[in-house]
Amino acid sequence: MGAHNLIRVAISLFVVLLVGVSSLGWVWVGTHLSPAQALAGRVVLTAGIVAAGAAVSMLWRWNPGSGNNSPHGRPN
Amino acid sequence: MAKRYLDVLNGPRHETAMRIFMFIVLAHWGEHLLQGLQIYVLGWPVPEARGILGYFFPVLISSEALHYGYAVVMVIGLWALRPGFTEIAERRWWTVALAIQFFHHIEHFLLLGQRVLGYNLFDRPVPTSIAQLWIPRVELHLFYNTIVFLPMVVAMYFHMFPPARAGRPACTCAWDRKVSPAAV
Repeated sequence: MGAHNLIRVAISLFVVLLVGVSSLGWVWVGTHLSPAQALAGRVVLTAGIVAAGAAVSMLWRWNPGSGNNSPHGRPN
Repeated sequence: MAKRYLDVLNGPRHETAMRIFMFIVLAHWGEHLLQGLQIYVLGWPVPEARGILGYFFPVLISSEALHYGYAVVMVIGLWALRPGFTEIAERRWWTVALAIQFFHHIEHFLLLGQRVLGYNLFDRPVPTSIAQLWIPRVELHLFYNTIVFLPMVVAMYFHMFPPARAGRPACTCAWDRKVSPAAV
């Protein structure tokens, strides 16, 4: 496994931890806050989870050295 | 002198500065994740869930000073280390993180101001920031930290694995740290 994959795995695991805590919060707000506050809390927690998925997807879609899908644009 | 210092920070010392900065970021995450576990798993009341530092030094949390101090450190770090991100994509994502964190810092500035002045906005019983009018504080700041951290780490990943370009040596942050043969 190359270094870039190890780094991506480490980042992904940390993001999984973030998603896990956010998910716990998603459940908690539903049973401990008013309906309006619970909804607001769930909206932002869901937005954070979606953003986490997008970020991890971005990391795994790009392979260093693959010029075609480099996020850095075309080489000079 | 400040410019020279920034040049060093974004040149030969960029990797060291980034390591220190990430240590602070991850330590802060540790506090928030622990707070989340204290509330969501251990069932502690929210005012008592203060992470690690706040557990031993509650005044750090109640005074809003620690929150604001960290927010400022983040803004300064994101701004000061931005020039070292030279590729388009990595700078783009680092700038996104900076922009979001600037707003996050303003929210903490409002909270600190209310605590210092002893006057809470919007007739609230506790210091309240703008987004907090609608969103509970713990979940709101979990969200803020998430959407700042994610583009930051994407930028850092792109920075660690830049494309090989002839004549353009990579920052020492780059995993391979090789100079292109064309530049020799």
